[in-house]
Amino acid sequence: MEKIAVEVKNLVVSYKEIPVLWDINLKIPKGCLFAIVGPNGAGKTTLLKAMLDLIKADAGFVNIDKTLKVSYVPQNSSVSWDFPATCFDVVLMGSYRSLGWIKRPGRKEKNNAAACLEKMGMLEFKDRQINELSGGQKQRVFLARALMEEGDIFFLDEPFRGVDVVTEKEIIRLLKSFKEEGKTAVLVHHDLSTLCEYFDYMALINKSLIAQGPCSEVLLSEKLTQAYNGKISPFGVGYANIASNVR
Amino acid sequence: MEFEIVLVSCITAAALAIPGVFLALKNMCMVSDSITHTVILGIVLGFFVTKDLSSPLLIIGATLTGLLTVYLTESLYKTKLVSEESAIGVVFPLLFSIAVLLITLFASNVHLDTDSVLLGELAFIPFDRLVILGVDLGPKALYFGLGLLLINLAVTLIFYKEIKLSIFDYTQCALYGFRPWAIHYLIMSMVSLSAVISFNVAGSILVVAFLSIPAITSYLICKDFKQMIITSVLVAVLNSSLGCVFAFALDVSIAGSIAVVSLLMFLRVFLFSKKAGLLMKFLDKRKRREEYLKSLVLYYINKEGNFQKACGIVRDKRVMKKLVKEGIIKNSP
Amino acid sequence: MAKFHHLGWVMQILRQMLGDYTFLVVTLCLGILGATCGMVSSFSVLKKESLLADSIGHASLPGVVLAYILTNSKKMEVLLFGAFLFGIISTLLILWIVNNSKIKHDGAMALALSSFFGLGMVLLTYVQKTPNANQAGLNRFIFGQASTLILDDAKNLMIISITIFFIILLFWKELKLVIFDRDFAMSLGFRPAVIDILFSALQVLAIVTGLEAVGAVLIASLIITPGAAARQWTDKLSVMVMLSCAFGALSGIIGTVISFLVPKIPTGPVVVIVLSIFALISVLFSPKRGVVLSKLKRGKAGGV
Repeated sequence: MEKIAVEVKNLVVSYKEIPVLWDINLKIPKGCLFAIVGPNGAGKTTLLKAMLDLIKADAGFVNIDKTLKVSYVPQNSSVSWDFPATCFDVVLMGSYRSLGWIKRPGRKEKNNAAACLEKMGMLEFKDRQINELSGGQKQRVFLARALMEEGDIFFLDEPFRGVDVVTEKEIIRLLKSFKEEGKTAVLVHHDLSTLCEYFDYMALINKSLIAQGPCSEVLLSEKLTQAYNGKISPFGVGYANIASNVR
Repeated sequence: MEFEIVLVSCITAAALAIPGVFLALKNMCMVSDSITHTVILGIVLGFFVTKDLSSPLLIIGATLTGLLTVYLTESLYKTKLVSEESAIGVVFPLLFSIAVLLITLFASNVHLDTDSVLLGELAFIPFDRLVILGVDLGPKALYFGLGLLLINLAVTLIFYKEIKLSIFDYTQCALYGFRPWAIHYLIMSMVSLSAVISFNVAGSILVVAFLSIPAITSYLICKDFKQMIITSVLVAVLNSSLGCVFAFALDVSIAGSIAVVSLLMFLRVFLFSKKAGLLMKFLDKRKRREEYLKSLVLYYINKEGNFQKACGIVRDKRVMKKLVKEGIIKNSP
Repeated sequence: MAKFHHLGWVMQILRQMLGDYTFLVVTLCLGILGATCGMVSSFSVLKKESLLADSIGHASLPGVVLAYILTNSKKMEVLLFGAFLFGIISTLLILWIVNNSKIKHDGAMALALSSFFGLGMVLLTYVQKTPNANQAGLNRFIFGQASTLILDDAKNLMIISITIFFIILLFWKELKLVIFDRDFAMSLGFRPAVIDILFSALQVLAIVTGLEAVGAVLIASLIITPGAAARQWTDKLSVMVMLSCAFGALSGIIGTVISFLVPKIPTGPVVVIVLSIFALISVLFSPKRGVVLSKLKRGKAGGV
């Protein structure tokens, strides 16, 4: 059997005494690309945050393999965009976890930050203020920041929101190269049509877990309509469309 | 004489409570602080023109300065170079400082010192009386207050629909062709005029208390616009009368005492009101949380078939203990 | 010949200034005060809670009076400690109300500002009636009286200023991280709430120390304007903080010089006006973001 990177057991999370996640049981294998999928308001982001212990759960537990270093790319909504920070500054913030309180980044961290920017093809923008970039470029910078953390498992919250197709493909290529190195990535994702192309495993949730497993299996089952309450229209990302993609 | 003071402060407070509601709903309470400071500049400039401190031109000049403050603040904010808060904080100290300088440089020999403008004192009101043809008709401030109340009431009644729409949905208001910016400036003129007329009653800083505290107090308990206006007028009158009573009893600043009573009244509603009080909310939340955790435990007992296991899963040990103590859990399968 | 005459006049004024002990002390105090507030200002402006300074400035008045009533002493340290306590209380009150009701930040600030100031007025009028109390010493906290500053004040200011400077330097990285991206800071294991409390305390400290010199009404300007001006010139936090310190210090010094040259003029308002001129220049003419330059650029682009 494969090694497990993250195990979620009996997880219940509530908001104002109303459960938003109910009895979630999940296993995320090591070295895969894992998608958390579900309709709007299904609790995808909440699940991600609960896994990282950023939200307190009412019941159950989350076990992340202790040998793995975690890095997290939040949705960009909490960023103060007008802050006087260049791309380089932002990436450098990725080293703050290992530095801890008070200690300042030194030459080693700075070299590392430049290397991470280079890896994301953003070195030439290093002195730009963060808000002067396009959506895709911003996402690349935040990914470079995650690289700085030198994590073994990445949690990304909707990294493709407001991002151009080229960057999207680039990010996936990078994540796949991580996979080769044995690293794991967990993404909140909402585009059903690209699921099988991008990911190995997925969890389909709508408050509770509907299905989990290899993408192709989950997508072909009846579970998808169940998660979306049969609301997947034949237009846009249609069910038939996805099914044909899988084949 | 004491009755006159209570009457004037109640009327003024009621008049101020109305535009206060609009400000609170527009999230612009701090603009009132800004305007109350800068109208002083208008009064000083008006005085230079008219050389007369009792001229009605001063009121117009000061109201216009209030509007100018709003305009400058918004222009600065619209450059997107500074945040809305900073824009307020840059503009009003500047205008106020200019006013203070002008007073000390050119008007120090007249009765126009910053102390009286900023701090105001209700206790002096009965001494400035309106006398027509030798008949004493009561303190002048009473008539100013009544006039202000009438104007604010009239504007609110006439433009009720427009004001409501512009606060609730600015874009919709524009779509219907009502020019929301005009209504915005109408509201700001009300605030400005109110600040000008009442600052010699309350002092410019305590005008902020009159404008904003009744409004946010009623905002806690009201769900309806009309209801909120009426409630905040009532709260304002109540605050003023109680404040006056305390001030007379302890012989302290009347306006200050009203502000303190307003705070206490707010805290009373904030903590203990039946509808929205923090205490009720807390008790209610605790009850709901217990109910919720109980159902959670029951769910896991059913699922795992074992009480011990269920206890291991649910995290809140305190509530678990309580539930066991009350025998709620043991009885279940 | 005329030129020489002019120079002589300037020299005479300079000699007068340098010979005036009080003037030198006041200049020193306001310079330090401006720099301290400027340093804090950058972070307040970036946190988008700079108006809190206005609220705290007003709300600390009852602290001053209460400290006097309780200790019957007019020692500056005692009075300012009272102000500091009430500054903290008002900050906490605002946070408490905002976190536990639908009232927004602005409403809570207006509430704390006006009602605490009202309490201050009540206490002040109470003190005025007590025998052997000369209330003039307390009144100056509302408008500020820079001319009464003495060398001891300069020493205290220096100590507070250096303390604030070192704490900010020590937690520079954390302040930056928490203000820039709160969620990310949390995921890295830093506690944003700790940084918030620390910074609030520093901000209240800076405000309270300025009360004596510029007063409760105008202190807000010293916490808001330098940062807002400095932000226009740079995209680097360190440069922004240095600039805003410089703006603060310069306006403190220039303001004092002007009020020395023109008789009767109060120092606080002049400092605020000088500061506002810095801000105006920054907003209009800063090379990267300034209104004038971006208008010109747009005009050119439209022309072609």
